[in-house]
Order: sequence, then C-alpha cells, then structure tokens
Amino acid sequence: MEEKLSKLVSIFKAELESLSGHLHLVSTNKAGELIARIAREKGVKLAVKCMVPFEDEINIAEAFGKTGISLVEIGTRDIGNVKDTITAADMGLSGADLAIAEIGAIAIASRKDEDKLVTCLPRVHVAIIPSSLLVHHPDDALPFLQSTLRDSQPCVVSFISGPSRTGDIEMKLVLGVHGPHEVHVVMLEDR
Amino acid sequence: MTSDNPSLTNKIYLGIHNSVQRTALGLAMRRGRDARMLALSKISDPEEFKRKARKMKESAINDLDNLIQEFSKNASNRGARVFFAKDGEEAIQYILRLAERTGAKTIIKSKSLTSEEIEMNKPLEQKGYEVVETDLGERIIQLANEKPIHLVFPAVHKTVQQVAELFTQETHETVSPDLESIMSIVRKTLRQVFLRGDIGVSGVNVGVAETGTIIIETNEGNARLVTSLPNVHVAIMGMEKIVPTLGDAIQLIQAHPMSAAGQRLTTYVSFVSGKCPITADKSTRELHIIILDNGRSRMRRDEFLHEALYCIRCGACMNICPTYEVVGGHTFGYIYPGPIGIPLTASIHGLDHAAEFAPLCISCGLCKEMCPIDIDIPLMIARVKELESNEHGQTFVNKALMQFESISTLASATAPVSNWILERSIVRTVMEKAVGIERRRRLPKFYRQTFEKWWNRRPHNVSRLHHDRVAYFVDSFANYNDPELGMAAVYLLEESGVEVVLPPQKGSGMPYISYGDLTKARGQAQYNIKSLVELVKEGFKVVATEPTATYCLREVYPKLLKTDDSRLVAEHTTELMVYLRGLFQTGRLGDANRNTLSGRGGFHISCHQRALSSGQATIELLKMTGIQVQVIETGTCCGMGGTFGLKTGELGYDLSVEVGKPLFDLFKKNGVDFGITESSVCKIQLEEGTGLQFVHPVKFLKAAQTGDREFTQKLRKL
Repeated sequence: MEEKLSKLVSIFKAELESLSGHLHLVSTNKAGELIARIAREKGVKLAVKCMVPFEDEINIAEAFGKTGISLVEIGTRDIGNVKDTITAADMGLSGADLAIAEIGAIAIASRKDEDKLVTCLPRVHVAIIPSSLLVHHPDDALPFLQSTLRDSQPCVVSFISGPSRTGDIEMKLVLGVHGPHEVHVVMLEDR
Repeated sequence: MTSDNPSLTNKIYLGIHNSVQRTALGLAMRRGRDARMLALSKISDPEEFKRKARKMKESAINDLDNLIQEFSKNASNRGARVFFAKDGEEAIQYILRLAERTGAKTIIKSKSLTSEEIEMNKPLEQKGYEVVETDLGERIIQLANEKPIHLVFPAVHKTVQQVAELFTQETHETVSPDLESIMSIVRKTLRQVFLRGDIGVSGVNVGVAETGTIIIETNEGNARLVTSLPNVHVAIMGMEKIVPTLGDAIQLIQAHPMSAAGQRLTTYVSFVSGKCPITADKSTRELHIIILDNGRSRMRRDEFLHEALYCIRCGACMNICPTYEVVGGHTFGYIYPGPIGIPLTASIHGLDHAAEFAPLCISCGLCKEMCPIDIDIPLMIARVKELESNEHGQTFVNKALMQFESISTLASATAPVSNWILERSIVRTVMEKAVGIERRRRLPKFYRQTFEKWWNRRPHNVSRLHHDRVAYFVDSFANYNDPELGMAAVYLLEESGVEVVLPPQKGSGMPYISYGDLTKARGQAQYNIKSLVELVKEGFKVVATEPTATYCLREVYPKLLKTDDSRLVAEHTTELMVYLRGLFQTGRLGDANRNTLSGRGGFHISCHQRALSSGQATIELLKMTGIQVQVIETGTCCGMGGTFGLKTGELGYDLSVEVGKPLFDLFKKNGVDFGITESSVCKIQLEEGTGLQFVHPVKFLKAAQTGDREFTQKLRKL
C-alpha cells in the first residue's frame, strides 16, 4: 500500500513540476512551519486563507504569528470588502479535495466565490491536501465530481495544474498572467 | 479565365508574400502538431480514446433535444437563468437588456468563440458599454481590430514589437518591445479591468446535462476571474456543447487540450454548477446561460454537415492544413478559421461567406486524420462546395478537371498525337487561357495501349491455386498514363499464385468530391460498388495501386452510399502494398528479390495513404529489395491536392507550389538518388519540384523479382 502511494506521489511530483508547480511532502505537524517559510521566502506581506483540512493540527496561525506576516481568514468574520482584501494579498491558502497524479492537477470544490478567489488573485497559491486524496488517472476523479456536483447546492470545482500561463505572444511561455505565478501543493504525508 | 474569385486570389497572393506571418504561423502549427503527438504517446490507446469520444458526441447530438431540457432544468435548480437564443441577434438583445437592467458599465470577457461568432462586442460598444477581452491573445486582436488568425493562437501572427505598440497606444505608457514589459502592463491594466467589471461574459467548453454544469477551460486563469469577480456572469454556449454525464465531460476536457496544444489538461478547468454566493450574499449575484442555436438545428438536419456539431474547437485541423499554413486564418476563414471553419461558416454565417474560402481546401484529408473526434471534415467541405455550386454554378476549370477521365479516354485513343499536341507550348498557352490548366505543369503522357487494352488482349492466366483471388481497381492513372504500373502489379500477384481479375470500373471519383459534385461522385461509387460487391461476395479481395482510390473505396464510398454493399467492399479493400506484404509474410512473394537493387530512395507518403497504412508495408518491402528507404516529410501535404495544382493562378499552381517548397527543399537536402511515391499526382508535383524521378514501389518490387539490377541506376535525374 505504502509503496503504491509513494509511486503515485512521485508521478504527481514529476507531472506537477513539469507544469512549473511545486510539491512539498510534509508531516501534518510540520506543515504550518513549512508554509510560513514559503511565505517568508516569497516576500509575502499579506496572506489570505479559506478553510483548510486538519487546520487545528497544522496550526498555521501560530506559525505565521512568529513571522510577523499578516494572515487573514476569509469568510469567518467581517473583513470589509472581501474582494479588495484578496486582491491586496500576496498569498492565498486553500485546501484541495483531490490530486490527480498522472496530470499533475489538484481539484478544489468551492461553494462560495470568495473561496475561489483566494486561489485566483494572489501571486502565490498554496494548497494543502492529505495524501490519501491522491488518485492516479483523470477518470478516477469521477466519483468526486459526481458526489460534489450532483448535489443540488451550487458549487464550483476547479482543476488546477500549475500556475497561470500563456503562450499568446510569439508562442513564448510566460507564467503568471492573471492568476498565481506560483503554485505550491503541500501534501500531508501522514493523512 | 483563371478564377472566378478575384478577391480570394488577391488575398492568396498577399499571403504567399507575407513572410513574417508565414514564419510565425508555421512555427505555431508545427509546435501544435509535435506537442499533440507527444501527448498522444503518453495515453494508452489513442485510437480507442478517439472512438469513444466520437461515439459519445454522436449519441449526444442525436439526443440533443432531451439533453437541452435536462441541462436547463438542472442549471435552473441551482440558481441559473437559462435562455435559449435562436440566433445571435436574440442573444445580443438579451445581454443588452441585462446590462441595462443591472446598470452595468463595463463588460469583461474571457475567450468565447461563440461570442465572436455572434459578433457581440460591436453592438454593446455602440450602446456605450466598455467591452474588454481578458485573454491575452484575444485582447491583442481586439486592440488591433482584427479577427483571430487561429482558433487557439488568435494573435500568433503578431510580433512582440507589434504587440508592444498596441499596448503603448492603449495605455499611453511607453511599453518596450519585450515580453516582461508587455506582461507587466497587461497584468496591471487588466487587474483594474477585472475589478471594475460589472458583467462577466464567458464561453462554455462543455455543458453537462445531469448536473446543469458548465465547464470552462483557460490557461491564463482569466475565466475564473470573469466568472466570479463581477456580480453577473453570462455564459454563452453553442447548443451542441451539452453531453449527458460528468464522465463524458472528463473525456472531452482531456481530448480538447491534447489536440489543441499537447497539454494533458488545460491549466484551469472550472466546473460551474449554479450560482455561487460571495460574502454570503446570494441575492446580488446572477448567472445567465444562453444556449445558442444560430444555424445549429439546420446543421443537425444535414446529411453531412451535422458532423460539424461534434467539433470541440481544439484547432488541430488548422495545425495541419497545408493551404491554411500559407495564407493564414484571415484568408482561410470568415470568423471560424481553418478546415472546420468551412462547414461551420456555411451553416452559421451563410454559404456566401463559406464560399469565400472553401476553394482553398485541396481535399488532402489531413484534417480528418488530426481530428480528435474523427470528424470527416473533407467530406463536409465537399458538401459545402456542392451547395455553393448548386447556387452559383461551377468554375470552368473545375468542370474540366472533373471530366479528366473522359478527356483521358480521348487522349489515349489519339496518342501519341495527343502527347505531341499537349507538349506544344502554343497549345498549353491556349489551354491555360481557355481552360485554366497551368502551362508550366508537366502533364503525364498518355498511352494508346492502355492497361485495360493490354489486359483484354493477353491470354488469361487462370491460376492453379485458387486460395487467393483479387479484383484489381486500376484507377485512371495506371490505366491511361502508366500501364506498366498496372502490369507490374499483375505480374507480382500472379507470380505469387494469386488470381487477378479486372472488374468493370470507373475512376474513383475523387475529382468530383474535391470540387463538390457529390451526385456524380455517388454515380461513380455506385457503379464501382455494384461491380465489386459480387466479387467480394465470391471471396475476392479488392486491391488498388493508387492510395486515393483505396481511400475512396474504404473511407468515402460507405459514407456517400450508406449501403451494406459499400461497407462490405470497404472491409475487403486493401492497398496493394499491404496485400503484398501479407503474401511476403506467408512466404508467397518470392524471396528471390532480396537485395537485388541498390540506391537511396526518398519516400513520400501521400496524404490519403497516411489515413490507410501510412506506408509501413511499402517501407518493409522496399528495404528487402536492397533499396535504402528514407521517409521524407514535412508533416503536411506536398501541395498538389489531386488536380488542384494543375490549375493556373493563385488558386491552383501558385499556392500548390508554395505549399510544396519546404518538402522539395527537404528532398534536395537529403540528397537521395530517386523518389518513391504511390500517388500519381504527388508524383507530378514532386518530380517538378525536386528534379528527381518518382516511381511507384511495385515497379521496384517487380525489378527486384525479375533480377533487373540496373533498374534503379536507370532512374536519372530529370
């Protein structure tokens, strides 16, 4: 079982990196520190965050507290104009609901658009996902899509494979057009 | 009388001489093709993938009325308002009313071909709304006030200098002509536009009936902002985009990027299911889905054109189209460019607009090979040409070329006098002026002793072995212009103990298909099938030496006739070389021919052969004879396009030669001793372009079998 997982992780890592994304495999109790370190290295001043898995154990707020970087929670309390706050942020922190190894993609279900904007607007996007949610092939995403979208509640599922990109000028690749310039997937190896 | 389409010929002339555009477009197309091949090599069974996708689209379009209902119900249940627009005007009016009601000022758009199809920007701007395209390529095109040159790479013909100038004009800031400066101004200005957008307009890549979901793919991520920053989101969806289930959708979101740019998945794929709240307030948000007909119902009813509704707009067909590469999508297109643009334009924008560029299709059929849904684009284009000529008649030169077979009968009957006449320059000048046949083209010689006459005179060789029996489909060239080719084929078959018969037959009818006379094409097909089917039922296989003839029998006749007989014949038809390989593998095609010959041959695989065996059997058999075989190709057509390259002027010879030049250069660069091709028309083009002699592979096999060691040495440079 473990061997199979590590093989999937290495496929996912290779694919994600070929799309200029980054994978960090980390234990849950070290994830907070890791994310704070990424924020520091990337010169982040303001980070916004929506709900992430195993929040209490990761304890992001504490890790950020030590760095002095502001971390704003979206959607839980009144933060003024939510669009302005997210636009001003350098980093968006989100969970992810599925990772697809063969295509280096993560999938995120959002029931509110501000959660989606956290993954759209800031220049660095960090997505936290338990390794148990890693599947092999795009077709394996079907049960997740069905259980999420057949529900009559409105919802947006976003598949994201690496940072925003364009080749529209002279076919030359540019990363980070409107969306994030960097995508970091933080995978919790013990979950 | 060179052409009845002066504005098109003028545009072709300009295209041929626009080297900046040609270089940029050629590079984009080649990259698109290479990346697609690489991506396809990573999936387990590409052919099965294609078959599944096609079957799914077929059944979805069959059941479209129900799917639209189911989609609408499920989308409405999740808070969307669904509007069915019968044409572009209705869709635009709907958006105008919406903009007025919500007091909108700025409308931001992510890439939507459907919104381009209905040309919605202009009427909105005329009413005073600010309309901004947010996809970088589309934004460049909008600032340049042009139409996309390519479905997937809309601004690929613009250089970095030109783009920098456009943004300098727009922002009144000096933008240096480098990518970094351009990107920084784009990010800055578009971010402001996103934030002030009142209405976001997007297209839809796939609609899912079971959940009322719309799926939107972008690499830049602009659609994610367009659909969630403004309070109002309008999605415009062609009605053919709806598929039954999420499982079907997963298949299409993979097929699309793979064919478009060789990506396994588009960077962002959003499954929007209903209206999502922002800051817990659902009431101020609106999601409108406009389902657009705009000619699609009409398309659905057409025997051939309904296949255009399977199109997923990946643009792969234009990445391989040989004439599109030379002239670009502004000439080879109206709003929808490229091969698929012809049937789409005919149904959506009208036959007249399609007729402006349909003659650019030279019927090579490569677009069908590239299509991830296996759409028979060439046959749809033939249908458009037919509809057009029903309305406006056929050009004189096309009529003449469609009659080539009866002309051949006469020319053979009067050979060698006819050859002598056809070689007179004064005659060729008159032919060019009066008929429109290019005088510089070296026409093949005609033989008085046609293959058919030879066959009828020879003592009939009834084989001792009756296990293997074939009916030989000769087609015009081997009959009138190269009877030795037919004789070599018969020799090889009979020497291997195969009984050969020559059934009554007419030419394959490809020229009728190329110029859109499907009634006549059907007539030829019916005649040939009637003659062949009886033999097939008796256990005969059908073989042909001309790839286009095999292609017609296998791929085209069943679609033209839709009969069991035509399908039966198709199943039992093989390229001669493939049949011979079978004989070789069972030890029937003599081993005597091993390593008899020498020399280096450059093999050109004709477009129609690519759709069949891709020349693999030919390569194997020729290598055995001792010839060093090298496949030489540019990845696209040689440019002859059947009889297209015989026509004089831009819409014929000139364009044909421009397409062929890179291939001619490759042949010259490789320094081969002679050329090999199975196509009689590619032979004409390549002999003229390369100065090498091009020979059908069966002639090499016969030479090897008969120990004619000097055969290859006698192939002189022309």
